[in-house]
Amino acid sequence: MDSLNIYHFLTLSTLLFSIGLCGIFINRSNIIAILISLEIVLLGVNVSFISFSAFLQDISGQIFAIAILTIAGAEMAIGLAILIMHYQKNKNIDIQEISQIKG
Amino acid sequence: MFPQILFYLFSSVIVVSAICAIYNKSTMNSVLLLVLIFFNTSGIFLLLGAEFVAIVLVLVYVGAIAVLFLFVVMMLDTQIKNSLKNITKKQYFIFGLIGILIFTEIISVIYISLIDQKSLEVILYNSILKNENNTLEIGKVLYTDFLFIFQSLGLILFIAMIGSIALTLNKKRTFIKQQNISKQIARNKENSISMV
Repeated sequence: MDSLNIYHFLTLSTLLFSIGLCGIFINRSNIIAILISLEIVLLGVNVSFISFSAFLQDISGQIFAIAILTIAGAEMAIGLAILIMHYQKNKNIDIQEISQIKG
Repeated sequence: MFPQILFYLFSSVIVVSAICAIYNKSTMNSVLLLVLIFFNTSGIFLLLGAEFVAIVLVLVYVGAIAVLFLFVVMMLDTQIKNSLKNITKKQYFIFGLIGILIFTEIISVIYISLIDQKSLEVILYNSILKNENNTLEIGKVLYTDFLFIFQSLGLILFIAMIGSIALTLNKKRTFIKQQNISKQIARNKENSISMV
């Protein structure tokens, strides 16, 4: 095995991104599984930022990774709050049964 | 030799956990596999020399967000009642095809665009080799050059806190008995005693 180069880390990042993307397609009816797949996507992007920060010796990649963490946390909090309110009304979390949202 | 072993170990656990997490019937298992993914990603960040971000990942992602997920999963009933909405085999094939297609596109762009770089090696454990402090380097930049980003992130967290509390607050709190001090003081003899 040769030493680790940037291709290894970027392959890992792309793999996480596409696995999370497939997860969003597959779990269409379970909204918690959609949120988990979204977390996997954001984690893949984080890996990409940190690996480029180590490759180019620039600290701004890590600053943006901290920003992505913060935004993911805020989004999860609000998304789960909305989910809890929806569950209190309808007693199930099957989002394909939502008929009250009008376009 | 040792960094390669660590990298392949961490990344294989990450990929296998990610595939298991999206195919799981039980939501609790998915959340626990997500925690495993976070810990291994923190290990990869430590390998790259970003120890501050690695510890922040464990503290914030695992310690706050995954715990929030676990609370919500334990409170809700996550059974999907209507089993006719299951995904057929043909749809699985199409989703897998889309995933492989996007993976191939991104990988080909990355490999072609980096093809004439001089050296592609990533310097690992940088902070230990050069005796630098990753937290110090982030601190030098976060409060001076990236001050606007820092303050606006605080504002975003504040707004998220207000939003989630305002959504889940029970507005009708009629079951709580409270004292009304001015009504109690304004009692006089006429309206509290009656002759029967």
